[in-house]
Amino acid sequence: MKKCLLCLLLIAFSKIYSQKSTSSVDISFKDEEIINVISELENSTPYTFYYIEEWVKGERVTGEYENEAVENVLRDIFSNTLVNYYFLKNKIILTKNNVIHADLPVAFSPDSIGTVTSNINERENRPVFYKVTDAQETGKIETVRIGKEDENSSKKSFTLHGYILDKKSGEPISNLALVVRNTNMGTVTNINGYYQLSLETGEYTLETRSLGSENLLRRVVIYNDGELNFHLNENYESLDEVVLESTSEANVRSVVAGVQLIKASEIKTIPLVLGERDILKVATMLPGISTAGEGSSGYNVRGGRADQNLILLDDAVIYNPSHFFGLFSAINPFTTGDVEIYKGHIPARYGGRLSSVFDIRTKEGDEQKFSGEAAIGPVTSNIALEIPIVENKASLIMGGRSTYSDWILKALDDESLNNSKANFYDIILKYGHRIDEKNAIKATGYFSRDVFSLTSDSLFSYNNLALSLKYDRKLNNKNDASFIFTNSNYKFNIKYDNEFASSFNNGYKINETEAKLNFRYRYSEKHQFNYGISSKLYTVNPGEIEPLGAGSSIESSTIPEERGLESALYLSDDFKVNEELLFSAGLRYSFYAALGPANQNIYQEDLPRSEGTITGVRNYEKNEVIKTYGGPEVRFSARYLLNPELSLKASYNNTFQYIHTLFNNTTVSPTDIYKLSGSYIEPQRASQYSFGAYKNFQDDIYEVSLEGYYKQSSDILDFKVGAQLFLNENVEAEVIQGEGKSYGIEFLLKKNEGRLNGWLAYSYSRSFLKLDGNFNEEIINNGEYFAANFDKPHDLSVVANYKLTKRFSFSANFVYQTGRPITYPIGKYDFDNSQYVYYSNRNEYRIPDYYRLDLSFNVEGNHKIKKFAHSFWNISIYNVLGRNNPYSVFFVTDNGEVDAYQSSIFSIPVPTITYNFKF
Amino acid sequence: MWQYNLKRILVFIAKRICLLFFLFITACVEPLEIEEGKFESALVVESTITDEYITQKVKLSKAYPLGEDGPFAEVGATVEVTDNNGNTYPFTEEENGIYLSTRPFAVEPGITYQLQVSTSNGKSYNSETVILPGGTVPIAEVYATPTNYQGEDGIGLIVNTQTGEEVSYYKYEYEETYKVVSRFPKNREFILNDDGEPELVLKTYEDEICYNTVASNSVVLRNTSNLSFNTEDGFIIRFLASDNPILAYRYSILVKQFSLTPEAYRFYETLQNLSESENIFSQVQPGLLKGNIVTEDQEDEVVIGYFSVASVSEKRTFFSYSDYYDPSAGRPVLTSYCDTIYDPPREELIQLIENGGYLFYADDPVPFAPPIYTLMWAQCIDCRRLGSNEVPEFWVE
Repeated sequence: MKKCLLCLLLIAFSKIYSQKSTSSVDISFKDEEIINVISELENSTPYTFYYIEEWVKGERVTGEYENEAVENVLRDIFSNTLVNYYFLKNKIILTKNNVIHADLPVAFSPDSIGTVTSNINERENRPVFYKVTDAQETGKIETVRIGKEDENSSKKSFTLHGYILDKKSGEPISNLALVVRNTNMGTVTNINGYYQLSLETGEYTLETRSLGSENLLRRVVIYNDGELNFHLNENYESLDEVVLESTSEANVRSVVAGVQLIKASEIKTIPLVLGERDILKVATMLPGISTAGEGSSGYNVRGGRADQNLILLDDAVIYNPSHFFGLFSAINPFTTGDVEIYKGHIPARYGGRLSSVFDIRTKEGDEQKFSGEAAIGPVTSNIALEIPIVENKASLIMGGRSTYSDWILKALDDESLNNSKANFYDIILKYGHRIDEKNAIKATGYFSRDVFSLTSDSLFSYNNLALSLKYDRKLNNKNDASFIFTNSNYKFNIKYDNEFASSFNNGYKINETEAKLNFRYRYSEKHQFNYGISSKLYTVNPGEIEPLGAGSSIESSTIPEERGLESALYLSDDFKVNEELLFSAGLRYSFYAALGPANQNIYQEDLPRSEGTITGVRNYEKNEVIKTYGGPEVRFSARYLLNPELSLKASYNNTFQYIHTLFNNTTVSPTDIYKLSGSYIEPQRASQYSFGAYKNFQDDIYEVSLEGYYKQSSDILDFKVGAQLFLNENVEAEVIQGEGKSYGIEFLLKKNEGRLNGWLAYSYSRSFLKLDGNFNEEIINNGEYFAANFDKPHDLSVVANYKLTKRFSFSANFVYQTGRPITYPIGKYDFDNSQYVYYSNRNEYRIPDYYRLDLSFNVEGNHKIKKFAHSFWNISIYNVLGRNNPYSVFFVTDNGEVDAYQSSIFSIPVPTITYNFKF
Repeated sequence: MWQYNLKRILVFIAKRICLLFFLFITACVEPLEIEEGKFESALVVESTITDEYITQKVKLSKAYPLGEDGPFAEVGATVEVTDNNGNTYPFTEEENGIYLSTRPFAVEPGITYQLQVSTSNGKSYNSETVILPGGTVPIAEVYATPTNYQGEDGIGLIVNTQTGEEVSYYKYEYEETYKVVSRFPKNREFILNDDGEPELVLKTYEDEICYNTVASNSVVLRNTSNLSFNTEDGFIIRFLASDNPILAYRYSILVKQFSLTPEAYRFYETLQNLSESENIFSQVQPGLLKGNIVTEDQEDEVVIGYFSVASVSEKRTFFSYSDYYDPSAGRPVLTSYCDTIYDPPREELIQLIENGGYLFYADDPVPFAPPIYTLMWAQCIDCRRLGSNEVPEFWVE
């Protein structure tokens, strides 16, 4: 109705009189409704008012005028409203928000109506026109006009802000994405449901999407700064929390193939391990991502080694994102905003790992209100605070998590337990400061530490340290720049202290420092460029051992430091050919130099490398280049939209990796030693082709995707038979580099809404390796392809939630994986008066299949608005079936006798209760 | 040396591994039944033909399942060694699985040799051709010296080999012989006389001083690459802690050095690595160790073992306890506990004599009655239980 009126008004302006007031009036009113003032004015002046009552309803004004021009009276009356007025002969036309313009802008033509070019237009006090789109679409969408158009304003952009609240409970909805359609603008609500968007005048379509609440589509017309609050209905049918949400219809529409977004706030009903919400664990429930085993921190993405994942926390690399051999992820769920996982197409701005990128971003702090969240569990507790520092400008997020198991151990009577240690903690601090509209700074500091006893006389510890500093600057309307500086440090230490002479302390350390300059250039609606340069210096201390105590006979020894410099240049273009076809094409050139100081072994040329074939040593000075590698990396992805709910995507990517872990079982234990490429160890390389079809059904309630990939890699590290990696100075003599290939099909069916929701992910994937070197000892399994350590063909995950009432819900997880391959001892033989065990071909057998069912029951606190804290109980049982899933199977050979051992964690159902609250 | 140390420690840790996680989770490592069904039989070939002019030996056996005892000899095979001059050296089976050359021969430098085996079930196996490694140097010296090794005092047995121009690879085996002296020597023993009655008689044989010879069961590898070979001090091939009873009187070690090709050296090195324990800190990559023997017919059949030619050099050394220690302060004893049976009844005595596990120790006279006998564990009295009473040919006092 209103739109029709406006429509008419717009059309009626072909001829317009100059706006001039001729009459004056005597009038006085006190706390009077505007509507009454208007009728009084109508009585005492010749003017007739045209308006809609709603616009002025309820507004009261006070004033006293004597022989005052009507225009001035009106100015005062409407000063505090959104209403503008226009004189047309004896008529006064009131309009809401917009000004009726007497003159058309120069370039005005009917065709250009409504092409509201968002933020890349230079404009001076440009009137706002917007197209009334066809009724079919607008039928559902409410239009809201924000602010009063001010003809005299020279401001180019205005701030829209407001709160998004739950309609029923009035509680704020945090972490809700508010996206401006067809632009790259958007924001996320903070913990108070507050959002802020900077927009130029014009018409926009705002979208909110969350499975927890209804999805909202609203057209806004921006005239000035303004506030817009949303009250969203909670979506009864949807069990919001377990949402792996892709922004808007990203599943179908995004150009990037093989990307997943996980939001920390939305995983709270997934059954927990010991009461810990774990964002990375959720990742492994998705197709194509699997853990190397229960209790192992490695992730195998699309048949890649566990060292091929780039795990970033606010741009800084985290080497070991786990606690306790991977039982918990070391990423605090309360401070985490979301995780974006690229397993297919990796945008050109990322590099250095072959298989995937886990881009973990910490939440933006609340700049207005102090708030917090805490969880109390049987083993760990967690607290996160958001502290405004400067209102609307700066905020601090602090998160801390710790175990109290040490106290429990100390309290026990058993002496060996008293002396044992088992604890971990992690802390994160993030400071964000918006200096002005153009400049912003973000700084993150992260530290995690684990200490535990494996035996009563050994102490194992490791820690991660990550620092990142990011400076964002808006250069102009089209260009943004960011400068990112990060430093990451990972250390582990084994202390072995017994009464014997063999006590020692062993340590390992890797440190990397990176500087990166990233630019975005919005050239046009069709082309958006991203380019930059980065450089990273690695320093590795591969190991040292020192005697512990005076009685130790261990000789101290240090393996010399290694250094390497990895740099890259990149450029990518998101090219929108038309509505259907999108390309994301990128090129990255990476360059690596292994740097001195180093003492490099020289080996006899015609013999396999081994300690015994060393013929000499070459010394390199500090910063002397030992060896360089480099090459172009193509990152290409395309999307074709067959219809709004069905798309096809394809991508081709190739990647380089200059750093390798040395581990020969498939489990990443924290002792994983990182080794840089050098004279003898070439960088790993991979190229991946992937293809996928994505379909949404029934208003995006159901999402289905089917993706396939084929990956070829070269110079993948593996080891010779009998290789010893612990503190080995000549690791290059134990390594074989071979070719890998992997392929797979991934299927994902997701139901986003409804009383019953969740997803089912299945992947069939294979991963093979071929080690066919020049010498006998470099040939494994006759030089044919064999199953890689992490080849697990079938991987099924089901996550389901069922909401009984608004407050009570059930969730369940089920995971099944084929057991991973293993080299099995198959017999014994005698040789040189000793017994030896002989093994099968590499990875000829498999350990038992892995499966696990977890259940959890959630109780939400009631929704009283004024309550101090919003609380939430979670009762969960991990491994309900009590399946004794092997974590690793290994063999101990002693005097020719071999014993097999399996280590498993959680071989019994583990119940947990956790209390969470927000304040 | 610390690396070797470390391995021992790791083995130690591995044996007592029990991961204590939280109070609520114990993730103990538990033994797992090894599936026996995966056993595949395989021929095991062991042979090092040397440059000594002797009867050369090839040993053939079969691998056996993990849970069982073995090995089983590979009997009835046809074995021969050929060289590139067209000479053939046939072998005949001496005892189960041991094949000896029908005539003595020595390998010569510059000639390639190949082993050929046909088993009784008609399968043929060949070795790769091998050649005597060049640049080898004989052992210069073997000597004993008091030392502290891994925090323990004792006697180290040191091998000293001069470094040649080229890198050379050696495998060492040793054989140790030590004197065993009876702790409670007695010149009389019980026998059962013709009436089946116990009777004390004078011994007619030597059982006070014996000699025991034990072959090394571990392979010691060494190469002369500039990083690992210490030419000044040699290296410890064997360490005997001060309280080791085998050095209680006189001890001798024969060290045998085999020069190896780099390939053979690597084979032994890997074999050694594989036989060491794995643990959570450091795992050895397990796998099938390929030797240089291949089947002629089936590619995928597993053959274990190595055929090598080597030049041999050996040296022996002796030392006595009194060379380094004061015997009056007491010597270490092999038989630290000697169980006795006092005054056994006649039937039991007869049984003990028949069994031979206990021997006559003492007879306490009793007036107007048979003496009271005491018997003692045989190994505390008869040194032959711990060695041989024949003096070895090489023995020097």
